[in-house]
Amino acid sequence: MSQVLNARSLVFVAAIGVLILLVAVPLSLLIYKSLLDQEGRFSVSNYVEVFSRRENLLPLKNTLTIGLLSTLFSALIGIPLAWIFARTDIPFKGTFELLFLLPYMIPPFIGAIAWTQLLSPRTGYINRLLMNIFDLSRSPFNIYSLLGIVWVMSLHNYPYVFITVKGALERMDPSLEETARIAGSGRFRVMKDITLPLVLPAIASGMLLSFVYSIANFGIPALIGMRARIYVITTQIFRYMYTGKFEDIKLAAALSTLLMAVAGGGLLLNRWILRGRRYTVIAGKSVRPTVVELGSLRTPLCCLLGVFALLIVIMPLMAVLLNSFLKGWGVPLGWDNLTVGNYSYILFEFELTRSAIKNSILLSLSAATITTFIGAVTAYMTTRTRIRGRRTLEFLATLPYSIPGTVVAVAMILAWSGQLGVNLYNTFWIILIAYTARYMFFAYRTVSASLEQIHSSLEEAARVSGATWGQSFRDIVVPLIKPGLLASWFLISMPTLRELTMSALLTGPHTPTIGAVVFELQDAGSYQAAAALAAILIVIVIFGNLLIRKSIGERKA
Amino acid sequence: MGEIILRNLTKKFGHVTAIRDLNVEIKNGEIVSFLGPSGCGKTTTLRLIAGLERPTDGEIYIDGELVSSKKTLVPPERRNLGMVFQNYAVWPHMTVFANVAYPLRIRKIPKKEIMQRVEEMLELVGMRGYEARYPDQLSGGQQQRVALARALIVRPAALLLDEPLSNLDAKLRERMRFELMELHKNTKITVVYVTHDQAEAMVLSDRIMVMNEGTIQQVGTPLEIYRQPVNRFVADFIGVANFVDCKLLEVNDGKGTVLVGTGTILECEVSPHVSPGQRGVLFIRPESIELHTREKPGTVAGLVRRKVFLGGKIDYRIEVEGMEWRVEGDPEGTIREGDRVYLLVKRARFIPE
Amino acid sequence: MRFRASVFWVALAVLGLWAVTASGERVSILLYTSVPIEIMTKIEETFEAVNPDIDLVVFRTGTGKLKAKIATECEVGKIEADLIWVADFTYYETLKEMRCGTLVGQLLYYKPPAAAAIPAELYDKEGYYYGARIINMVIAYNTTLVQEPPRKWKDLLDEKWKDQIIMGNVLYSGALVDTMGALVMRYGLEYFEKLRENGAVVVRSNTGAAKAIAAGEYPVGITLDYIVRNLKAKGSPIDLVYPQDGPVVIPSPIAIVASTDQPEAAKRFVDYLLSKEGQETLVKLGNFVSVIPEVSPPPGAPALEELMEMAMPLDWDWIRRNMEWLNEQWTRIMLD
Repeated sequence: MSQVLNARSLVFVAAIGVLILLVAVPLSLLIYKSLLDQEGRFSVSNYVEVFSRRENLLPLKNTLTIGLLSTLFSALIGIPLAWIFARTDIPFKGTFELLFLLPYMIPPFIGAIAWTQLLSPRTGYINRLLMNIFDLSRSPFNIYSLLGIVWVMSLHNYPYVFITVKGALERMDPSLEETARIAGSGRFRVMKDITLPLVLPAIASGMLLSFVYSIANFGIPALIGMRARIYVITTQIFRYMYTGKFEDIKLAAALSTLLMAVAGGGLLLNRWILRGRRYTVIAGKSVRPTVVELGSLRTPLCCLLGVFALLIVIMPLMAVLLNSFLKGWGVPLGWDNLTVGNYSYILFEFELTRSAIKNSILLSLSAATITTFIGAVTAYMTTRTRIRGRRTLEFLATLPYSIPGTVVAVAMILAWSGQLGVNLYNTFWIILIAYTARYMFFAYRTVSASLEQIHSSLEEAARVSGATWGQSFRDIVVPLIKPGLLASWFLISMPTLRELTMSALLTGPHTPTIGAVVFELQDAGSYQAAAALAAILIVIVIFGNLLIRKSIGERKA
Repeated sequence: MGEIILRNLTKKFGHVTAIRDLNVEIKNGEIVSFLGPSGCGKTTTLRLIAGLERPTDGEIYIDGELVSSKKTLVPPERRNLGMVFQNYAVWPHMTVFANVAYPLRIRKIPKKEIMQRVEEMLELVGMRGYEARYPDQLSGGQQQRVALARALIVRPAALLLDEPLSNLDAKLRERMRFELMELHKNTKITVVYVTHDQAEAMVLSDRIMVMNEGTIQQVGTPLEIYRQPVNRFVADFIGVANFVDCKLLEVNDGKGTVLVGTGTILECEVSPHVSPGQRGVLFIRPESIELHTREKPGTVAGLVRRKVFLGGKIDYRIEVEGMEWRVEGDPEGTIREGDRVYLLVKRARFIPE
Repeated sequence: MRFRASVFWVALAVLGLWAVTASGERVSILLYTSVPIEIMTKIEETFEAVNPDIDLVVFRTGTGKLKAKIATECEVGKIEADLIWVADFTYYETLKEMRCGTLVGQLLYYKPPAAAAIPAELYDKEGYYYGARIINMVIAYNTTLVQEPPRKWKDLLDEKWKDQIIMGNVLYSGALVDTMGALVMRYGLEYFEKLRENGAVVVRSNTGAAKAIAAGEYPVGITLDYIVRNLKAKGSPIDLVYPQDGPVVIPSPIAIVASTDQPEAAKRFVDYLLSKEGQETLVKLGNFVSVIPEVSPPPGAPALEELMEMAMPLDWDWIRRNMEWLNEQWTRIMLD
């Protein structure tokens, strides 16, 4: 007998309909198009071309090399940091942690901008400094190289390793190590035999995430790689999409599908590694891990950490800030070369800024609201009901986040540029759709977590008390998941505000976004203006993130 | 008001059958307990009555009206029942007042009446004065009373309770038991009570329905269940018992004799459907055995293996014919471990295999 | 905490509101152009000052990207822009023949009165597009680092300049694709192969190349003359050389798109641009050489006739016919 037609079923059908349109259609179209050859027949010729042409193979090789190297460096930075924060009594933990998590909040392409200002051959600040001090004729560093890309990538991806491993170390049951100590193992032995194996899944997970985000990144290779003729899959896709030629679009589709497969595979692998272990759970149990007392090492380590933070976090930000006040690129650093002209240009003369800020804010607000709504409904359907097909709902809602932004953008373009009757190309809406699909995962996960803390008996009690399913949802569920809804809203509004990767492909003349404008300015050589807008963006992002952390922290209390 | 009938009720979850072919009649104003171990299906039964689950087969009637069947399901909000959940399910974002008032608010009862009835109800459960408190400011027992008030405020046809006392400590449990019984006396409402605690069921119920693996093993008053269990499960589940392998020799009008071990003959009660020659167990409560230090006619010889002092009584483990019998004894007794004793069985029952 | 959060969002909302207040009740025309945004902003200001009822919306990016964008829009049915002003002279012939949707020929015929003052080679005889500024591809160098700059295009192939040359991307810049065409016609493809061997670095735009030279990142390079002049005027240590074997002289044309909704407003922009006042403004604001001989060139620049005489010979038609080939070869030689 078919299900009773009631409010709940209607909502479910609507949710699945929206998700199919949002996710299933574009992605299937992408894969489909990648399998069409020039005459429109079904074939794998595009993939063959991808792997046979040198100009495609090289980007593939570069992508992998950069991915692996940056993952390695991310681990080299992230693991020791994690250990220091989780297992020692280093002072000023709060401040340091905030500092070391800054690269996580700031969009990678701004990091790329910052580091080009520091390590540009001959004119980068660090190069100039070193050349002056050591009287060199050639600049020691050149950011426009494979290592340059790897460096910036590592500095933005190490937080994934850092956070994951730190979490694992903190949640480890101290009695496991204590038993080993009692049994006679020295401190290092314990680390090798007990701690390391237990933390290995977290390390693997962090490194996997770092790898996936590395290969999916667009901004860093776009800003740094072009000059060095180093192309990666994302920039190659970008190139293909921009020629406008049909054959190229099909190649872009093939590359995109490939990237999606690798990235998606990586994230699936990550889920498998973490099965049963919730590393991202907001901790309930207060397990106090064994802390190493540093004693006399405290001050030196603290200083070392400080210097390190200075080098990899503060310096790049300062570079951007400094550059935003300079009259021109490469001019000597002196008081008479400072100006607020760049800011006044960006804010008052440059018309695109206004448009971009307006669009980004609008996109951010709408995306956050719509996505939270759909995500909440999906989360409820999946965790609270036994409707058949709810697993599909969950899959559709969480899938796009595993897919690189470039791929999502390409899929959206293919689907919504008129082929299916609706043309949203160059409009605000296509960007909104892309954002909604991509960040749905945040809403879903946050609201699920919230829902899980609400026992189903609370709703059942309402039903028995006389409330219909709708009334129970309104009076009981919604008020109780409000914190989750708010968290989801904030969690989505932040990245959408500063987003670049998807905007790069989706913005049109009337719909610039802040990220796209900064990128455009930098790429066109207007370094000062780019720095000014970037500085504004950094301030907004840091402030917003602090607000979120505070609000989540307060609710925990 | 409050008559509940379950007919051939079956519920499957996927391949797992939670309850099978249940036939139950709950009379108006009764307190009935569904008693059994975890997984026996008692909570599922309760939820089916509440309308929170749909039957795979069978029907449920409340006051003569069909409320649940394979094809029809009157939703829970229209059944006018009251339910208290195991974790009380008191809404954390509402005050005590709001919690209790909610069912009336949903029914669009005018504000004045709501205020009056909520006050009455809070008085009844002893929570007067707590109206503005939030659940996280209340103890377990207090939350439970709020849940009760909320369940009763609509003057429901029946009150459903799902292991309501299991989260309370022993002393509180006892007190709440007493209060529940008082409540029942005052309101004369039908109560369906689910629990795994047999002591609780014994104290509270007019009738007990013992369940195991989805079926009802026995229905009866507490005394009937205790004294005359129909099978090993019921006998074992309620209280402590000895099960002695034996063979039925004679049957005569509810009484019979059995052969135990190599040659001991004992008298016992039997249920109607047995015949001589059947194998089974002899069901003997520990308190139905007397201990003697000297042999007497009708006694069985045994060796005291262990003696445990339990405060109000002594728990003896006595070896008889290679088996271990549990016997309850007088704390003043002088019998020691290792002594030879003679057991006189005062009351026993034959349960066929 | 709630207070602080609301303050943040109110601030953001105010920011957003301010962003919205820019537009008002005016006729809106959309211009696709590759003129650098800093200069375009100023041109827009002066134009709107004289024509307050028109809102000129500018979409600025490199010629290459604009061509791709126009191609996509064409495919979907219609070009969105009302005006096109890019650096590739040959592109407009292509636009004349392009078919979008049901419309064949994407440019609007218009004979502005100011056209009488423009030399014949600098505009379309059929009246569909008109050169609005003269830009010249030249050799630029950093005056602090270089005392003896290269004097000819061929000098750039000298080992003396190994790994010290920077230039823009042909795929992006219309002026560069024309330049490449000219150099290939003159010296063959080997020119670029040797340029690559000499370690020339490619950035996206001519502006980027010029700025890098001014900053001292690269001592010499290939870029557009007006950009160098603009930087020099601000005090940057950069200067240019008109190559002895001929600078590449490119008239960057303005044209009206045939499918425009606002032909009158578009025509007014063309009129403005080609008028004496408009041209003088262009020279002043952008350091361009004017298409009108009477209008004085920017300080230090040769007069229009002199330029056209020393210019490297160009076959626009050949470049147009081989556009795709040129792009492919560029990608093969310089990018991969």
